[in-house]
Amino acid sequence: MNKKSISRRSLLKGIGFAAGAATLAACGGAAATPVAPTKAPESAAAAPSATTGAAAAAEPTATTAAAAPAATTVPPTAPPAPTITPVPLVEQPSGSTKIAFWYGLGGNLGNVVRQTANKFNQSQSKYYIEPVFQASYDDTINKINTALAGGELPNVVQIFDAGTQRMIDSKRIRPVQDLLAADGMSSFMDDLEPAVRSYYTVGGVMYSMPFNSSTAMTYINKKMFREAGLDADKTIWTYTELLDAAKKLTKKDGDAFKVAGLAFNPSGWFMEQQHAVHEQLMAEPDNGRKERAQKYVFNGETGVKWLEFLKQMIADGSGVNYGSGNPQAAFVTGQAAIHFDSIASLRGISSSAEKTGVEVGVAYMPRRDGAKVGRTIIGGASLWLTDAGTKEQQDGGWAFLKYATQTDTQGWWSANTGYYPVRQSSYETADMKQALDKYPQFRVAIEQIRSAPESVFNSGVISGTFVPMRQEVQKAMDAFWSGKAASAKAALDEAIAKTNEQLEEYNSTVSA
Amino acid sequence: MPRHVKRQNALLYVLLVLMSLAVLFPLFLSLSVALQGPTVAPQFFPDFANLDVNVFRDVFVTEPNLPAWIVNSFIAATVITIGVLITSSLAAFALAMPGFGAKKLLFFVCLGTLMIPFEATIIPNYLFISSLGWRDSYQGLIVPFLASGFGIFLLRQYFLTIPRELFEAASMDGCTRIGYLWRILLPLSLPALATLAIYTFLGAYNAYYWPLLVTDNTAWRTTQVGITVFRNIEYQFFNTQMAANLIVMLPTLALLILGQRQLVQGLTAGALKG
Repeated sequence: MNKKSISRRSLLKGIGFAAGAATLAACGGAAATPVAPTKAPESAAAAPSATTGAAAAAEPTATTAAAAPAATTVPPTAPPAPTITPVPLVEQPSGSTKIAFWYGLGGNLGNVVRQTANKFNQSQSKYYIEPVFQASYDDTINKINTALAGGELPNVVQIFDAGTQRMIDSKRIRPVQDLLAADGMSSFMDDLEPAVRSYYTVGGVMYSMPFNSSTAMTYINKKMFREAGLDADKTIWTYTELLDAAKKLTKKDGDAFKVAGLAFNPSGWFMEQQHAVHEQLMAEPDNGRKERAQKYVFNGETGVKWLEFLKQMIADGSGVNYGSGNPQAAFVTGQAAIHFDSIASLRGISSSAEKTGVEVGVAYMPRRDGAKVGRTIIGGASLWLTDAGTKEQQDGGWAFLKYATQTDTQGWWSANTGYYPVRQSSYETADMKQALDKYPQFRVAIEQIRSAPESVFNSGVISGTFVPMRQEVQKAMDAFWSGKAASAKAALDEAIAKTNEQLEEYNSTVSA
Repeated sequence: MPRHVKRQNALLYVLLVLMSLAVLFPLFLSLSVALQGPTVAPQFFPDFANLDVNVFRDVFVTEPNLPAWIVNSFIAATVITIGVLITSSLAAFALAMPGFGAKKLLFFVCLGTLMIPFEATIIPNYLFISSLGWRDSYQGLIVPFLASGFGIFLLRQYFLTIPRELFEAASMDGCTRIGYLWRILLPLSLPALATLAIYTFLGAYNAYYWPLLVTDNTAWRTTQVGITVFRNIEYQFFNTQMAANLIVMLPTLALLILGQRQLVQGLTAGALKG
């Protein structure tokens, strides 16, 4: 299986882009589909529980999530499909100031970004935000890097979490915190979701405006859990418990999987989450939160144990490494009982699961036995205001940032995307209450990022070489799981050597 | 018709059918996935009672620029191809002809450009094009690719295989050098020219990073960059992406089908005579 995944991965890398890659990935999903074993028409997927309505607001408790009754679920009348309405952009009114806005969030969620721009443009006539899609998060920051060398920066740009330090280092950013202070909006900072605020605060300054935030979750097939005699509402699992559960969930036909206990893929993001959960640093000093990160340290016990935990899954015959394949499809078709994914995937997974009759539940990211409870990091992207353009354009950009993060905009945004609202007050909006009724699993996700106070650990690592670092971590995982590296420690040590070299080089260019 | 010929033909057809199925498979799969609506787990065959044909309309509603992207891609790729054919054949002609002092050195300089990776020149190229104010323009998409070291190399090597006596005979009859290139050398080099043209066109049509960099306006995008807008993040719905892929593929496919005869004829005509 490993070999197969890896050859598919290198093949995919070679093909690179849209048509080919998409065809293959779809091919993987499609070819696998006919094996889908469990059809359960009577248990409608992820239906809202009756108990969830009242306590909708800001502080959901553990009991609301645990209370979701299994037997009483009814199929919702309208499928909770993600927004798929195509969104044409509104025209620029004459006499308005045009503000260039680059974004990297594509597809259906990108439609909601465009809708946000449309809403802003229709709410006033002085400014016109022109959203221009820049192919992906990666390509957006690449374009910014090139534009920094001598092109034209946009007024507003959406940059993913991993690009945060790079953007700060560009020195072309107007820190959002200063602008908030100038507008006398200090209460705004207090209303931000603490996990979100701490992620985007670096060295005591919040540079960019939080926009779309998510975190990592464990997705579980609730019906399979119940059938295997496991607690489908348990949110905190240790490695041992999850290994044990995966064994019970696995069903085989000879050597072939009918149901894999766990489907996973090598992801640097999950590695970062494990360090946060166990309150360990990915980089020193202080994850780069107080001063610039000087060296990576993810080859400690936390990293090693995570890699060994998943290797054990493979060894037990209860886990499948999907490589760059698609664990989402396996989960949704009942070929895997557990997988790790972003909470922002909940909409897509739920609406697909509805067609296959899979009942979707979520739990926290797992932790080592006896580990005290830390929490995960948020991921996603934020909006940056550059110093490019006229004063009027900058004012317009700032007005858009404020609009995009108003309480009601964020409630609407979250309800239509599945990202966290960045404002705590947004949970009081009608949109958000309705969304929580529809997706009770989302409460578990809220609890998870509120389950521990902010720290340098769960603010997450930040560095100028974040993107290549993730790639090296991923390579280390591949090397260890496929047996090419002798031990998890050896694989991670190699990644540490490479990433520290990159980091040193980057740091030398910015401090000079 | 003798029986063994019949049997051979039947075998041939079976083989051809199998081959075309293999070739058509990605197209079929794209269509199937496009019609299944938003789902992370598409089936091999769509549910025929429940086909989502609106997806093709949705693609155009979301991105009304889609036809413009196709036009941009075609104009850029076509002009680049013609440009490369002109510059490469002229340069290769000069380098393949005698009586040109430093031509060996110049040839190695041309070869040398092949050793420099595209990534190394992309920033200087970008800065230059940007300083000319050519972002969001056909010039910006086209000009950096009008000359090709590979094209010069390919054509020079081909020109060298054509007997010198032809040139001498033509000169004797009063043919100028340009006349010789145009009337004799190029017609004899059709296979090499066709190879270069196809190679260049595909490269230009599929270009990704450069068009992304030099276009800031959605309307100036090429298809390869433009259709990324249909790729979902967070969950892998492929329906709109596949619909967009099919739409941008159709013009290319149509051209290929219409032009196939000429293409094959051009190739074989040259090959037989040469």
